Amino acid sequence: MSAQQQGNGADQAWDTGAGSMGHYDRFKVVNKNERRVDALKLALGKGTYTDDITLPGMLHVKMLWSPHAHARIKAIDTSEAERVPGVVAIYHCFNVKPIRYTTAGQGHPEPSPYDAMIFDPKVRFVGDRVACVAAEDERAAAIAVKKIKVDYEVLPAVFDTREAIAPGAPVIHDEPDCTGIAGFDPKRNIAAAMEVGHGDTDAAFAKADLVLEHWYSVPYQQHCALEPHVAIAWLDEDDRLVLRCATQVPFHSRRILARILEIPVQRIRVIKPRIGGGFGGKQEVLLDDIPALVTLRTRRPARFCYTRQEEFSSARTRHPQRLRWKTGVKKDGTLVAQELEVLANTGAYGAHALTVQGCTAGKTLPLYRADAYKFIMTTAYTNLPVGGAFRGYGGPQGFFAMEAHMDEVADLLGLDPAEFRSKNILRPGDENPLAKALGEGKEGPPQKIRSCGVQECIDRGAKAIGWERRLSFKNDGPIKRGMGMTCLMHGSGIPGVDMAAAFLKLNDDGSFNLLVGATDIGTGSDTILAQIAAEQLSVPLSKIQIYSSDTDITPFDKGAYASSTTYISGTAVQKAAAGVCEQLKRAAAEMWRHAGDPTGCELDQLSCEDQHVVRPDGKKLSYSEICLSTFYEHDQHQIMHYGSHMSFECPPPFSAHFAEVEVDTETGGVKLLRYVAAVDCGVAIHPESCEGQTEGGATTMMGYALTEDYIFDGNGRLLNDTFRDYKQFTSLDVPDFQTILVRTYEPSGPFGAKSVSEIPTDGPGPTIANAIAQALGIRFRKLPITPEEIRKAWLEKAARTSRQPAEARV
Amino acid sequence: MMRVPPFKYVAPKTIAEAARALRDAGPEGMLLAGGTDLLPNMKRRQQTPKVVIGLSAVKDLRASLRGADGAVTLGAGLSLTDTARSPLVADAAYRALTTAASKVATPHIQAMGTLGGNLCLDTRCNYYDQNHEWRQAIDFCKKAPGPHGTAQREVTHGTCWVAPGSPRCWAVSSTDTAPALVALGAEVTLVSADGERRVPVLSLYKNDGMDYLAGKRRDEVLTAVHVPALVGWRSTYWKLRRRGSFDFPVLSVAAALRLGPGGVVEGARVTLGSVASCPLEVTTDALVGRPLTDEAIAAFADHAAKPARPLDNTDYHLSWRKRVVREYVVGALRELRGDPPGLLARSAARVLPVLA
Ligand SMILES: Cc1cc2nc3c(=O)[nH]c(=O)nc-3n(C[C@H](O)[C@H](O)[C@H](O)COP(=O)(O)OP(=O)(O)OC[C@H]3O[C@@H](n4cnc5c(N)ncnc54)[C@H](O)[C@@H]3O)c2cc1C
Ligand code: SF4
Repeated sequence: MSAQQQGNGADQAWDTGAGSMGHYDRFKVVNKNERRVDALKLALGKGTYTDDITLPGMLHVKMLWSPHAHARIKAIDTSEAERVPGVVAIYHCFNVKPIRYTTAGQGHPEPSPYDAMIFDPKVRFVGDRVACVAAEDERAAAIAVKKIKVDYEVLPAVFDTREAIAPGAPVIHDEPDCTGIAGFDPKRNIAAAMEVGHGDTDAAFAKADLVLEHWYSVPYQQHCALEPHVAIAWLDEDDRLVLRCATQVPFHSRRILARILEIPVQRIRVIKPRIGGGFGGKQEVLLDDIPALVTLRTRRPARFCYTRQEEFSSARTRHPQRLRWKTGVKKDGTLVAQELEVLANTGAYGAHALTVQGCTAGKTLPLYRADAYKFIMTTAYTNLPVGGAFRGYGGPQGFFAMEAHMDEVADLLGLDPAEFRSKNILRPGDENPLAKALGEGKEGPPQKIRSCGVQECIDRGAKAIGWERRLSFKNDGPIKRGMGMTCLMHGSGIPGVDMAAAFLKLNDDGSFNLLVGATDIGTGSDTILAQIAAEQLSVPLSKIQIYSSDTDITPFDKGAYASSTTYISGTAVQKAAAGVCEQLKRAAAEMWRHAGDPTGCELDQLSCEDQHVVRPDGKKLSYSEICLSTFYEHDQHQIMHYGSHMSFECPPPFSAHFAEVEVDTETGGVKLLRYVAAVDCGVAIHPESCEGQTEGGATTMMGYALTEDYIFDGNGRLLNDTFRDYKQFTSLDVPDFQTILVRTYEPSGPFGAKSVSEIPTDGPGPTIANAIAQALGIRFRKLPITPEEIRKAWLEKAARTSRQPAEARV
Repeated sequence: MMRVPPFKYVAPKTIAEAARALRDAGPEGMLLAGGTDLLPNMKRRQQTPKVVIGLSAVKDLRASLRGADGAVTLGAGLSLTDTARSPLVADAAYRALTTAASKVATPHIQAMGTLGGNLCLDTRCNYYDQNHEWRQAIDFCKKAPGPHGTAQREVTHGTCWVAPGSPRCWAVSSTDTAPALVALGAEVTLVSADGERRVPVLSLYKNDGMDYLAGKRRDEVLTAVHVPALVGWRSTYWKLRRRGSFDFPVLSVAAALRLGPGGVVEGARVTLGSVASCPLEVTTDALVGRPLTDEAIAAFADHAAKPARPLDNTDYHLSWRKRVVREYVVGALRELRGDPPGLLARSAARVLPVLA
């Protein structure tokens, strides 16, 4: 069945990937589990992270955070704090210039509202910035922070999105100078809003035999990267500002800092050392401005590092959302219309407010074919912690609602959830109906699907978990077993926006320096990019010396986000390497000609093979010989090339997730027994890393499904701001996990690759919810699904069925 | 940033020296064993001793032996890891203790934390286990900052945020090994500068979140735990927490049972943990002298759940926590009856891990 379906509707002019499978046999370095380039140094404890250095005379910074959810700062008295021995400087809204910006680390111009300032005379959530102290040591700074006296005019606060956008709600951004795009309406607490569609939804719903509509809701989530946000700033010998920081976006950081600190980009160098995880939380200029400001004012090095509690309350989070999903479907299971309404909570500031919510629709809706689609979105300001970029970027929220909803539809029609999905899922050659409407802050380029292995993901995932077993679960005791599945897709970069560059040069011994702007934040991208260069150059991985992300030394890269590094930065590397190959051939030909042996030296006759340029007659010159000659003997020049890449395409990776659970109806406890994730990421450049990305991404979201949430008191104060009380999954909670890499070949990607890093985060919420629904016959439309909720719903169901035993249908 | 406040450190080598040091330090002194409870508490300024008496050099605290009568003595300074692995308590009779010890926190903390420290663990509450600034913002509560237990007896001002208007503090006894040791009928030795005494584990505790260790004088060192020879007994420990690791118990059931011919219960002891400010022993008269039928278990579980009065100061909803006491008692007794582990392990859902 699957082969037939793949043929269906596929535009023959497009390469569906199937014909390109031969590539797999020819790969020498890519698609191999090479040793990661940083493995040894990390194992030896040598990987230096931002905070592993200390500088002479370095100041330590501590922040005073707002204790109020909403207040105006009338006055700040720092006289007592200044008297604390060791205190050097204190900054706040009355001595730092007010310039509006967004902390969102996005491309220029950032499609997020300019609603933040380094220090604002108004605080908008418990944990907002009030003032910072720079002192000789952290202890003095912490003591001084407590001695700052602030006169607040406490304002009424609003915590619920529906209340926030209702008339009469306290206005969170009443300042006249904040600006935004796409529906920005601060008077009504709206950070972003949009309504887009494709086709005539009214007509399509009218055609449907069944229309189903439900509300869903998803909670806050914290990234919990092991390394907190940290930045160290100093002035170099040319009096330039150097910033060493844990960032996913060094180039955006440099650009944004230049504007808010009012110094030229030329005067700033941002260095990204080893990073201990980002997950989107570091796609943000979250604290870099503070040590930079201190250094510029005091001319001394300065360090600012968040504590774990500050990570929870004052860093960024996954936007909570309420989602209304409405579908129209024919009796035979053909979807005809889909409508999604999102009401999102961006907290006090609108970082990524428009784009995360845009992706909630953009990543989900196009997965299933329909005649018409509609997306209505409102993102509200509230006096709560701030939303931001978080691996998945709106996808996990949307997929929870959509994939739960699809199960509900399949259930009502009496169809197998896997078959129902297969029937409606997009096929190679399909055009993404929403691509144009959902560009990143501007119109997006059209998207056509080339490689698509989603049906194989469904088939192989189902086989691995034993999908048919779900029909024979007895479930006659108090313990109920269930199985659920979902289909997923994501993107590879932001089409028409994301650009990356790489620079490659040859050394005497035939090795290469590869300089990339791309930001390895623990993902393994340094290894993957080096593999791509090695494959193109036909050298072993060990010949590539990679250096990444230093704004003075490496070329530009948009940064580590939007699942773009392999696809966008990887292609830039491939282009650079292809250019170097050309130059190697040219130089070799010149060497042979110079030596009076010019036969077979046309460029198209030469090839780069195993560290040599080879002639048709078998004669060859090693890269090292060529380098020595071009350095010292003849036709002297440096063999080097750069590549830049921007793509108008955004090929989605696809995936199918499966979960098997047991639910104890007496306690409401859920036990995850088995999890299978089958993923089509094109050619896996480093298969083990792809598996690692999949396991890590999915595990993060198992807590989202079952245990993680932000708990606030009545005044907007976060109650569970520690690893003790914020219940992330531990290794003991993770079930048996199997990753299946489905082979496809993406013609527009480097060596056939697409992205892999975000798609696994989309799955666990709905997959686990669907498994629980099968086990209990109860649908949970809100995450996390806790034992308390399960127990309550089970008792309610029992009460219902005992009242009307005959016609009870759940 | 949380740092421990300054203190003077004393490192005695013998039990007698430790007891003298504790007496000399007066109310400002506290013992430090593994430090996995005391040090975080000091960082949060919940306990701020001026003199800290470290026990790690006191070798005698790690001695353990089996007496002629078969009773086992475990040194209070044994780590939880060593407790769980001790060959002296490898018998199924002691499984409640070994399971409890191996379910404390994480393997790292078990390697540091000691049996004595676990028995003397501070009580816990969502409004109390927060850093100083956090508690300052809610104007503290009855269980105000100050040196541990004994010294706090005098402190009576402040509100209880869990039960405003209540005269007492309801912070939860969260030690894993105490309910297990109570169910095993264990005793402890307490040594002070003026002598030594031996008391039942249960008598250490009082149902009061602040004065939880009322049965131990401030100047006494807990030196050893004595578990009687339990011939023919079996025991188990069921712990409720959200995750499979890390989390303190929000409910625990320790049960010990001796079954005679025909499955008749000859002896039974059941203790609940984490549902009050001290372990709660459940009377088992209804079980003894009868076979352990499903009906007997169900009736007993209803009876056992009654005294559990969880309040809204730990993880999970209180009504739900109250409700699952019954299920956990049933599970523990069925395990001891010998029901197939498959059936039982299933209710030990990952999010509610129970069995080892
Ligand atoms: C993340 C985390 C999770 C935890 N989870 C659990 C859990 O699940 N279950 C659990 O029970 N505990 C848990 N704990 C608490 C603690 O780790 C254990 O209770 C441990 O056994 C305490 O032992 P310790 O030796 O470290 O005690 P310490 O911290 O050294 O001391 C604890 C208290 O006992 C007193 N004390 C220590 N030794 C003696 C002695 N010989 N005589 C008299 N008084 C003494 C100290 O003065 C102090 O008041 C957790 C702790 C953390 C940090
Ligand atoms: S129970 Fe009441 S008094 Fe005791 S710690 Fe909690 S809030 Fe404070």
